[in-house]
Amino acid sequence: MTSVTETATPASRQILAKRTPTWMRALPFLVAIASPVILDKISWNPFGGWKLLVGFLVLVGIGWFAWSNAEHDPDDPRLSLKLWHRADQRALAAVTCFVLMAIPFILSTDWEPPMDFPWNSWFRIVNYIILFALGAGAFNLLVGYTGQLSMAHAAFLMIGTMVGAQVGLIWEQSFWLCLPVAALAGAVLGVFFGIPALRLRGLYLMLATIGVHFIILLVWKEYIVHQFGFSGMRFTTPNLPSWLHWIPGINPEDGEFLINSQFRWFWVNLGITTVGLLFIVNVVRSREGRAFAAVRDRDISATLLGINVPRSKLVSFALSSALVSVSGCMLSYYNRARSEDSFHLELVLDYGIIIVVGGFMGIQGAIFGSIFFFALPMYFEWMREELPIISDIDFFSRYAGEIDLAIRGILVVVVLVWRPDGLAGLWQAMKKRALLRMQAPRRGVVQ
Amino acid sequence: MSSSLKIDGLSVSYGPIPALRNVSIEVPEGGFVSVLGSNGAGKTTLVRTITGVLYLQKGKVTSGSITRDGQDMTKLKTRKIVTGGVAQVPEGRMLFPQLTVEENLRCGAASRRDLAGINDTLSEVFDLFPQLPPLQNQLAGLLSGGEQQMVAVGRALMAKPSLLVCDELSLGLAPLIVRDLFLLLDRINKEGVAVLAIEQNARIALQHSTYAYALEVGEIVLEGPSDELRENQEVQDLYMGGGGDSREAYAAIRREVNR
Ligand SMILES: Nc1ncnc2c1ncn2[C@@H]1O[C@H](COP(=O)(O)OP(=O)(O)O)[C@@H](O)[C@H]1O
Ligand SMILES: [Mg+2]
Repeated sequence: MTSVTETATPASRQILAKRTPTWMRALPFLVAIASPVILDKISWNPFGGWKLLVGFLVLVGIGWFAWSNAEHDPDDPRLSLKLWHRADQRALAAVTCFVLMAIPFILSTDWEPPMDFPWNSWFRIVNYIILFALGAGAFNLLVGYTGQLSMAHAAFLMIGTMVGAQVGLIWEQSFWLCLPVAALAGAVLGVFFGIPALRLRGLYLMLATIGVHFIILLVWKEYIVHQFGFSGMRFTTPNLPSWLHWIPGINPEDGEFLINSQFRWFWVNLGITTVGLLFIVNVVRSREGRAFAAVRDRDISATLLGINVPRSKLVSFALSSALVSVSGCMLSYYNRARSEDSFHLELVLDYGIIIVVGGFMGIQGAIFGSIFFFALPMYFEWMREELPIISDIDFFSRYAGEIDLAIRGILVVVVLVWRPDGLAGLWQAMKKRALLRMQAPRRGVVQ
Repeated sequence: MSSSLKIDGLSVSYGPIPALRNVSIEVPEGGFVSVLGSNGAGKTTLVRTITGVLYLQKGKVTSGSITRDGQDMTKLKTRKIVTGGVAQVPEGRMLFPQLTVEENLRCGAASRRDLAGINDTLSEVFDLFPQLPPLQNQLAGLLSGGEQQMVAVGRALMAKPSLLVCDELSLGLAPLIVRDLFLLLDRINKEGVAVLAIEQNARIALQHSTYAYALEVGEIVLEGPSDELRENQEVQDLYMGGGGDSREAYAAIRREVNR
């Protein structure tokens, strides 16, 4: 038998070489995205623009340097178990860290940005993106990775919130204790409400989990009315524990350091989401996670290999619900107020859109999906308010919500038709192509 | 010689429908045994019973036993059977199409806990199938039939079995690939793994096994050393199209056509 890849790789490279370069194909999109900016009366601050440019060049430089040193040893079967085993993956991780750390400083200072962008409202969006990425990643672990279609997502957000309220508000414990308790409660209840999955699958499981949503909704309403009355919950501002005050940049006032600004929430959200998402990544790459995927793909085959299918399903429910519950607790503390109707069943659809558009592949889908989900409406709003022609048209501002929904719907369809594996798939493909192009000349010299 | 697997008077039925009747089969330690049977003979039922997944199809063992190391296996859970050293290559391969080749292989080691040992077995499997390492990160659903069957065999080997049960390895594959696969089975067998090959393709199964059984409508109708069965007129009529050698049959057809 002949090996497929050995003949296939050079051929695919030839095809690549004949294609239009990526940046050229991306040009229309870039122009489309940038056109509002160009159309806008650009208030270009030379100093700000200069800083932005240097920062950008430094980033590109770091990325290029690390990338050009990339080594690939596809033949070692063990490497693929390591998280960042290739230099380009490490470089990407470093650049991502850098960007993430730069975001709050860019958004929070009174530095005049180069364009009339609503930076401050973007900070709230960034925080939402981070929080929703955790929930979406957990949702994806259950739905995308284990193939258990569950609609009880909002219910577990409620459970996290109830735990947060009970532990933090009624028992007056610290916010930091609420999170592990929420995780624990989510895990236990996840196992309990995951039991239908042992018998049902697909649409039937979906219907059963809608039932779960309404059971927990009932508990939620009773809980709010009895404990908080009709005004709903008002969450307190979390306080950084005093043993963490040594961290540079933290200067407590009156011995307290309250998480009371977008800037401070950013770090809390980022830290917990990062831990949660890395946890998911590692579960997915472990024996346990492969068992999830095996159960999704063919559960009979999984049984044959000695995988305990019911256990895998329940573990997936437990892990996913635990993380969703943590994200619910954080969302509520971040939002400050919660009332009876804070969590709709439709919230599941939001998370569904996030992972479908982002793609079912790992956590990248959750991240890209969240960005898509939150940044897009924000961008539309800005266009509506700032652009010379569009802002004059009354129709756009009068039906703002509807138009946003419609455009978002159309974009969902476009993304899915264009790339069924979502934005994460698009990203992967772009990366692969870039890597191939970088390797091609060097290989050519060797050959 | 001690036996790796001993099936004694096994009867199985799906509800009221009997699928196996009084089947007795023995696989010696390190042996290579084949079970021949045409469509619907009950071959897959036999495999399901050995690996303990009969309950998924609502089948029941009505009498008889399957023993291994003196222990009855008919009541055991599949994962106990797999940890006990029985691995299966299921009919139609049944890979996980959305997982990569490597992930599929690693799934085969789901019953093991020693990561270092699993990595070693993975290297061994890659050595055994040199076609697979280049395909390591390819999605299994995109492979050709022969490659998929190799992954399926490799996946079964990842459990480090002492008995390998193959259900219709030859199904839908080109004769050359089937031959390669059986040569590999020979190699695996030489390394001490007992093989139970359940086959519709009697010719190849009889070439490679040392002992064979013929299963017809749920009953063992014939058994004996493979060499003897190969010469047996009945077997030739039943499973080899009666022509004996295929070259002869081909020549006969040519004569017909030329006439
Ligand atoms: N799940 C099932 N429910 C009822 N009858 C079945 C089932 N599976 C197989 N059978 C019956 O058992 C007999 C043997 O089937 P099977 O073991 O699949 O044969 P083979 O693998 O040799 O083609 C057939 O008559 C078939 O109709
Ligand atoms: Mg069969």
